[in-house]
Amino acid sequence: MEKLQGLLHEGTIINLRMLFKLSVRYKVHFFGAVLFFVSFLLYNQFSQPVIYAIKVPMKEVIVQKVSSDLTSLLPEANISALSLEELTIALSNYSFLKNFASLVVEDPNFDQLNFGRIESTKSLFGRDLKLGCIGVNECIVARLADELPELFYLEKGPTKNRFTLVTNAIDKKTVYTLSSHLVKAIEQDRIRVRQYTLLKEIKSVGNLIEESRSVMKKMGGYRAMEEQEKLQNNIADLKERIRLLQSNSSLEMANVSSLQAKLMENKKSTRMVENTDEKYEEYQKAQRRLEDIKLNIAALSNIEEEKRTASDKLIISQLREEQSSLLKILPPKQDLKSMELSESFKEKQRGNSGDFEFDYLVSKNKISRLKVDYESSKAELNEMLQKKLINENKVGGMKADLDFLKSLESKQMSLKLLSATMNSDLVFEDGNQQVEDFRKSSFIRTFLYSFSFSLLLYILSILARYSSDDRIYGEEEIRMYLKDLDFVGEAPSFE
Amino acid sequence: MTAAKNLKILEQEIDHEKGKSSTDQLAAYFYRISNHEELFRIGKGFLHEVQKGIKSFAFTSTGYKNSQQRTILGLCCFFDQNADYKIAIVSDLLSQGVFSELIQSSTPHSYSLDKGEDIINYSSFHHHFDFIDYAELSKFYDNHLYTKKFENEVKKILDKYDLIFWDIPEMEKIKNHPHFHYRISHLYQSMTVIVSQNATSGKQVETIKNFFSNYNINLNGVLFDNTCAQDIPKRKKFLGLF
Repeated sequence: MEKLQGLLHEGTIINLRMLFKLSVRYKVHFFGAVLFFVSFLLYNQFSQPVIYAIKVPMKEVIVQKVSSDLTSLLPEANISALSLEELTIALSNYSFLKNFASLVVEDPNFDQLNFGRIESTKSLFGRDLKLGCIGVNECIVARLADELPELFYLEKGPTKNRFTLVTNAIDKKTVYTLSSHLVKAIEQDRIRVRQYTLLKEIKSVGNLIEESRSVMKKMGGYRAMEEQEKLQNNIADLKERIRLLQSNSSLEMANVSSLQAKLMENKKSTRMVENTDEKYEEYQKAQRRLEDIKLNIAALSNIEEEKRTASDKLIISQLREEQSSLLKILPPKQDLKSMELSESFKEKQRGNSGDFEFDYLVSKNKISRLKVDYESSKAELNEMLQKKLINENKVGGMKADLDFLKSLESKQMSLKLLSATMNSDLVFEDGNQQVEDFRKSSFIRTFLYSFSFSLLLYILSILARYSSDDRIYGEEEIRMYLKDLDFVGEAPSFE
Repeated sequence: MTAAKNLKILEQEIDHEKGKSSTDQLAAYFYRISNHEELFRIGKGFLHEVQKGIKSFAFTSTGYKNSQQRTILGLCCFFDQNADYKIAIVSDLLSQGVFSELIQSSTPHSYSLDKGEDIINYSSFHHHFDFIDYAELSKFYDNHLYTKKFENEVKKILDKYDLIFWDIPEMEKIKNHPHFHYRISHLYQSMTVIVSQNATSGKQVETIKNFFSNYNINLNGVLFDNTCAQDIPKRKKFLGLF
């Protein structure tokens, strides 16, 4: 008790003078403390695992909304902007962690990745997780999801919408893998979060559409609409048909005219060919006679002139006269050629004449058929137009409902499109992702921690020693242990 | 007292005649004392006791015999320098320690007791101090075990001195002759224990205190000896750190 009183001080709580005195008295504790401090410092410094970190800057893509009120041209503040706290909570969400873990588990190098916590030096490899879960994927993902929050965190960036994603691990390869998977997982999560509201909207719009459709069905709106649509289609078809019929009729009319002309022409040509034929027969006859004459003249000419008889000479002169008269009758060579061609032409003309007549008759029939078709189509069109007019009045009564349904369907379509093309609102900047390596505590921090701890231990040790020590070191102890004795002084000593 | 003084003067004159400067020799011891300030401090304390009429001072320690001898010699020098007292030093170890040198230059004398039947030898250092061995008293005690004669005769001798310093033997020795020490302890008027710095524990002092209280002797004062620690061998000093 007296010792305790001696250690306490009114001002400083602990009697520092006494403490100093004790430190001088128990020197070995000082040396022990120094030794402990050095050992503890070295242990703390070198027992810490090397931590690898990758910092990925990212920013939120803010869609600035301009106020519809034109009095203010300044962009309105985006109330849906992400805050660090909000994002941190989102990243600590179990569903996100599970998704992140699933991505990591699917990595081909999962077995070699070390998920050991930064605080402890204990390694936790992917293969260990697999062994612990007997290869059950759900178990591996769940266990990994528990470990992952220790391996990354979010830091505030230089501006309001900028953040820095820091991934830590005690293995260099792991930190690279985790960083890339984390970025993917965040992007997926942001898309999922943003899609969530859209999906809700799509669902509610879908419900409205269903409701409107059922109302329309009850009112027979669909049938009317279908009928209207059918009528419109039929009218369009009929119009098209009439147009085609008109067009075909015109074409056939033109064809008939052309066939008539051709037929006329053919008849004329046929008559000309017949005349030519008569001439050609005469010519051929003359030609044959001329050939006979030439042969006879040649036969008679073979007889020597001295041996020729008068009859021979007469015959020859008659033949020559006949020959010259025939040559005069015969048409020129080119006329002959035309006469020769006209034979084939004549054949053709003869064939064409039959064809033309047949075609003409067919076209004539076709025109009459088209005329009938045209008339019936016209009548049908009129009937349909009347029906359409009646149906239009019916559909017009439900126009508002139809418009609403249409706008809902349009909205649903645009929402689906928006959902399908949704992007993450966080953009990860592709920087030079250098891996930083460091220890958890800096040397100065470790030094201060070791020093403080050693000092505390030192003080406690000297206090413990003091409380258990009853050796006499000076007057204070004499007064403490030997109260009933007078302290006389120090014994003399000789040099 | 006057007779003792006269005797001392006479002896000094004889010594002076012999050509020896006993004062110088004693002064040499006095000036070899390193802590004069402390000597005067404790000397004054003892002088105060002397003035109260106490003349028999016993000294014991926690095992460091040398400290007892140094203290006694220091006090002798103090009293010798400041007043002309006849001093007796009773010790069991005169041949060792700081007393041995003085014994060598002392002259042997003896007291004749019981009409010359017993003698108690002593050494006189130039009539400054007389050294009496415990063994001489023990021898006399052995001859008069169960009579009062021992106390009476010893008292007669001690009455011749103005101051008596008892260099009490170690406890083990006392335990070997408990009866002798019990009877002689009645002559101790004051008991001072010398404790050694860094080497004596409160428990040890308590043991000594209890031991002497069994002899009906109360400890009166404590002297602090810090030179004993310097005499501790290096090995012990190192172990003492723990």
